[in-house]
Amino acid sequence: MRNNGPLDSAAGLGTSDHACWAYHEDDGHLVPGLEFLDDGLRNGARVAYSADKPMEELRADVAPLEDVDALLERGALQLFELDSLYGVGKPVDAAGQLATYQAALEDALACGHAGLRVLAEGTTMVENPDMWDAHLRWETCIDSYMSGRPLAAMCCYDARKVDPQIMGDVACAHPLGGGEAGLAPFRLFGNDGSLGVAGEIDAFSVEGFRRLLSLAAVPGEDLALDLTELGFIDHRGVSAIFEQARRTAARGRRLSVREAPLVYERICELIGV
Amino acid sequence: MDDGLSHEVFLFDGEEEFLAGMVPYAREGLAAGERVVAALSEERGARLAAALGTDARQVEFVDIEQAGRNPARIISMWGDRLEGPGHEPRALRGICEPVWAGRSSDEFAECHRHEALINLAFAEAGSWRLVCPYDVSALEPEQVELARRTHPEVWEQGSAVANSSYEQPAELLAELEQELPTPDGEPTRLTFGRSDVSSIRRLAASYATSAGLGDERAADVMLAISELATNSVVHGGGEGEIALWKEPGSLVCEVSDSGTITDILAGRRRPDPAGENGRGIWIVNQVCDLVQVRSAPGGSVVRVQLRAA
Repeated sequence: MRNNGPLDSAAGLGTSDHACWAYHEDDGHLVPGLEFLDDGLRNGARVAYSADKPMEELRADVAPLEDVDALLERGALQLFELDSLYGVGKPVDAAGQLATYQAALEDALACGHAGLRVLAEGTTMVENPDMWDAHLRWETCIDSYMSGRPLAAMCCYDARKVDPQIMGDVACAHPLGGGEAGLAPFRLFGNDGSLGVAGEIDAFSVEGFRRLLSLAAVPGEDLALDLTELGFIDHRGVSAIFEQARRTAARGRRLSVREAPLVYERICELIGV
Repeated sequence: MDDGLSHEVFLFDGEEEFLAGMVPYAREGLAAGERVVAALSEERGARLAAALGTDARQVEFVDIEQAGRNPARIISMWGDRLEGPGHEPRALRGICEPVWAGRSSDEFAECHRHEALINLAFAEAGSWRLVCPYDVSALEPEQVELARRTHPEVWEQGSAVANSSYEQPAELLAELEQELPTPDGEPTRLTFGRSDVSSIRRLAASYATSAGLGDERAADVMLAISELATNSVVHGGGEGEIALWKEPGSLVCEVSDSGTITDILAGRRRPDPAGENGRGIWIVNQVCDLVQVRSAPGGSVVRVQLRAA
């Protein structure tokens, strides 16, 4: 199972890890973020940093890294103004964005780096509720792509500026999370071709689960849910899975569930599905 | 026979009298093309099957000591059998023995509450007969007396005869709503709100494991406690209190809050598969061995018991 759960520290993340980090002070993403990038550099990855800031501020943010000029010179460190990557203020186009990341990973490998590691400050990407679904779809899409590839990312959000609902949903769309305990009652993440579900799904988290599940389902593909690390699910959660199964079936595809916990089996037996 | 349920008490003394009554009753149903279901203890069911001979193959036998261990499940069990695959009502004839010697006094009280409530649950269902055999040689007279008060009809020589001892459910239910006994020993008590439901659930599961309930029953405990705590948060004033204690071979949990449960049939009928309303307490009834609900304006208490196996 892919590395998942809450994080106390940003240190020691693996080459395919995907973490959400909620912070609560100005530039609070830099402490965990630079630790994350520093780890990547030591492991031979190309590291990239993007935020909704002009280039000179990006440059100042990464100044604590050792010998920034040399890193930039040899392409071990890249800086991107967020606007140049996503186009600030517009919903993310997941397919187009995925192609950009694919090319970036291939380039990093072709240039002799062990992989790619991205620190992204994404607060402005979820400022507008019209962008939420597209953003969540993007997070689940890139997360599935990362699973099994040498691409790691830390996505940071200023929890003071982000609506709590989308902050929670975004946290749940990452296998790993730091900065705030209890933001993600469950986690839905790519797991080597399947979708892993960890944590707990109940009356208070089912709405987010239903939403993420439908956004993570790729049209035209079968959907396999791996529930190995699911600690609890109630009848509402099981119904959400069955609703998705019906939508998937309506498109001629199949949703399958593996390693379901005892509570899941028990509910299926009781409600007769 | 009138529309709705004909709910008949059959007082029998000895196995011979039981078979002399129920064998022709079952055969009459089969001959009329009815679905015949006998919910009896395994032992009594086997004896009825033997007496029915080859006819037994057309009768569905349900082990009431399992299916009806919690009497609050029995209405749902009959509801399932009253509907065909397309939800059309079907001709049904039942035998059900919810009250057997050896049940605890708490269980007896819940059994009689069930017997009173089933009259309300199926008041408008298609016409069907349900005969409840009470073994007068094994049961205390007190239990037999209550049976006379909960059944609108008496089974006599194959016919349903109006029962003059029958009482309207509302009054009887109030009488049967005894105060819940004080637990032996000191329960673990905690108050909870929305953010504690997850930890309450896990606490109850670990309590279940330490009470020797095993993984499957611990999963049932999580399901039941999750639903009860969720009810308190969503409908019971936003918070509640849970008490947990062990009894020999079982775990008891009690959840109380300031809400009022107004539907006296709550959780006793199978919920609509399309909706999620009313599913919680129904699931609680399905997974628990005994559920005692006490609700009045200003507060509710639900006490549930789960046995080791």
